[in-house]
Amino acid sequence: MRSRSIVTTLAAAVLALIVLAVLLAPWISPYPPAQQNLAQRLAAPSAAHWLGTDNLGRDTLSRILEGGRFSMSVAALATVLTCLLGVAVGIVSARRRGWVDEFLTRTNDVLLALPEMVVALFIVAALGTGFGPLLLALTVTGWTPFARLARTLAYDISARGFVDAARVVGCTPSFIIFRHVLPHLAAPVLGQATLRFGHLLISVGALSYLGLGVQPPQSDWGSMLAAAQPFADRAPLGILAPGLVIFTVALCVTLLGQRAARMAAAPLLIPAAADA
Amino acid sequence: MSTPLVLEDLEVSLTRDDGGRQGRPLLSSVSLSVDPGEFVALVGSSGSGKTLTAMSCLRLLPPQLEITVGSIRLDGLDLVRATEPELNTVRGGRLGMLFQQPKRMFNPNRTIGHHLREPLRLHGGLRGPKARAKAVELLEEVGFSDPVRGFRAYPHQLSGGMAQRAMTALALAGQPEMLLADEPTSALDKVLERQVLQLLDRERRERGLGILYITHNLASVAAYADRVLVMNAGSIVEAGPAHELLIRPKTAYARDLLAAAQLAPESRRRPSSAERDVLVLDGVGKRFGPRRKPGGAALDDVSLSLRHGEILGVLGQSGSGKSTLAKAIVGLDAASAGTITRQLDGAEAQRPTAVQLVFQEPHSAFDPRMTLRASLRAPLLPRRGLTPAQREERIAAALAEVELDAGLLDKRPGQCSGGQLQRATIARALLLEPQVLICDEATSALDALTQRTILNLLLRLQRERNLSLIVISHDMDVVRYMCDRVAVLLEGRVVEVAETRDFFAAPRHPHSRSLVAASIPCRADGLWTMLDARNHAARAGLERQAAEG
Repeated sequence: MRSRSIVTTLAAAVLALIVLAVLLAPWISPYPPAQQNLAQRLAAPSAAHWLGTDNLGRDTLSRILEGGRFSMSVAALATVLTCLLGVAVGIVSARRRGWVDEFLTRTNDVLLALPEMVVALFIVAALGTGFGPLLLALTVTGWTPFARLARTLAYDISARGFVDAARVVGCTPSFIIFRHVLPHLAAPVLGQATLRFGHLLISVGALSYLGLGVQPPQSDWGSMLAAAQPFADRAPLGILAPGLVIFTVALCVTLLGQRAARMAAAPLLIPAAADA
Repeated sequence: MSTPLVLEDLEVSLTRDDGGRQGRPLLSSVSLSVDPGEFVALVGSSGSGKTLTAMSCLRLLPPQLEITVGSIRLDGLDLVRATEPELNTVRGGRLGMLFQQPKRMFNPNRTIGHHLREPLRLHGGLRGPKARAKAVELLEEVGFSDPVRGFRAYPHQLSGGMAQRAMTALALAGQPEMLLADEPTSALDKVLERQVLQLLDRERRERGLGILYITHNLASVAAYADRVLVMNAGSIVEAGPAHELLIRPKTAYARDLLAAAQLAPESRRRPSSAERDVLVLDGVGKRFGPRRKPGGAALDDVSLSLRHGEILGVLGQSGSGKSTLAKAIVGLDAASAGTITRQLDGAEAQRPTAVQLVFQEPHSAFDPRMTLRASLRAPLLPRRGLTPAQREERIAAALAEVELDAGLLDKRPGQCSGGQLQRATIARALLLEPQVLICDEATSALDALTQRTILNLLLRLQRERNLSLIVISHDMDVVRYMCDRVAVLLEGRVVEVAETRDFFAAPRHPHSRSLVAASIPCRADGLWTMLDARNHAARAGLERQAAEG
């Protein structure tokens, strides 16, 4: 127990540090992120450039700070949107049953059968690049796991005695959904959401890597990876630094999410009376 | 070969700092032993620590609990200090366990056969066709009429009784020397209960199986146990040979427990004089799934009427359609044929909530996340024109009516006992001023002491509020104690309706006759005669041995 809370504290601290640094980027970044200095191309780390520079002599640290804003906000917003959409669809499926359930579940299956990245690419290619289309693409492709999870759990909860009891005493369906079903969904959905955040952060990176994220000279973590790739042998830090940041953020969020999910489940862990 | 199970001075406590409850021992200085071939009963009301004792022996305690003092020995192996690999050779092998709710203990995605193969492989080294043959043999032994089909069945395809028998087969598959049976029959009706207990008793006689039988059913204790241990609040308060302890209990607690087991045998109620019907069921039927085979109906042409102010008992074995009937009447699960007409009057009569249901398992009838206050407030929320203060007032009044302490309102179901929760369920129903109350096995999950207080509470409420009650049960004693009339349900059909007294005196339908007959040896008032008979048999056996030797 003790060791786990140290890990959690550490994850929270690291994540807070990164988020704070990204938010304060305009004030704390050592150079303007787009400022080129061709004399300093692909420089190794030094006192002037802590993480070196890229092929146009731009400061890597400054670009990471600027890029985090885009990468993290798209990933976070997409997580929230997919979560809301998926849980709503899952609950409707489980409560309405019949053809509604059949239709929503089959749609879900179809989307799951298509490779997520290809669909996302398709949407971004059709609507153009940038914040909005990218968010839409990630939301459309990303809600399915939430819907599955929510549907299964809502089915299960609806079959429990207390839901029957609530119906018998005349509770409205919305009361049952908001007071009985949703609280029971909270912990697993939260766990799922943190895993998905890491996944989405990487997806944003991948789409930008393929040139479908932000447009130069603006930066984000994925496009930084892409831009640094041809020079990986001469300036490995250009790839390592944004890669490690993506990795660290995804890891920290997952760790925090697990902790939060455990806390959300806590009322259930009160020991039941010894004899049931 | 076999060795006794010995518990010495066992103490189990909450160890994690859980809001001030730290260190309070849940079990303290529990010492007991079970010899091979001995049938030892552990009795006590719910919450006394019986299950905890059994779980400690297998070291299957929830993570918040820890064995702090004492030892549990099985053949020189101290189970308290044993490592996990050592424990795994014991669990399900030399030390078998029979759980309370068999259906929950099976993996719903695996067949019964799959479950049985595991102990056979781990503890018997049997694989493939040999394991299969052995599993089928076990299923036949525990009373499956078609063991091959039982082998292939999934848990949901079994009735409660079948599942408990499958669980018994599972427990016996590891060739245990010692069996911990935790209320193995509390979910079963009398006929099945007797079958399961006889099966265990046969294993005891034939193989020298030692049995620690946890129960609150004293009649079965009288019938089978050699020794009895009485547990209260985490300690063993009295122990002794069954015939001595049950006839002359020394402690006040044991006396209370025994007194509670004896419901007054005949109904003290006189049939209601009112001729008005409040509920009329006409040809009610229910099928699950459109492609179900003919004869697979859960309810078939059920016609019944409930008179005003009457208590109607619905008797039936597990799987006879009792709960389906209850759900159809309150409107949880609409019937697929026939009509259910309510003929109520008064201000609340038009509301669907005028017919209320008291559930079988009080623990599942409440959302584990909500405080009781939130759960009790819920039924009043749709009522417009009630101020929060008025709501609290009505909740307090309902609680007082079921004799519950208002301090309980801020607890969650996990912190309450079954009896408290069952009172809370009744309070929740009363909040809606119902005219008809349906009790679906409302007391079968409770121990004898609590059961009696709940039944008396229901009787008092019925009198004071002039309610009409339907008491659904498999327990003959409950029906006889409570009801004016009895309806017998068999495979979804009503086969007999009669006044309670006539029914028990002269049941007409063959099924009713077998129910009444099966209830006699286990009935509380037959406890003493049965004890005598047993002592007699034991004495005869001893004399025979003496004569032969």
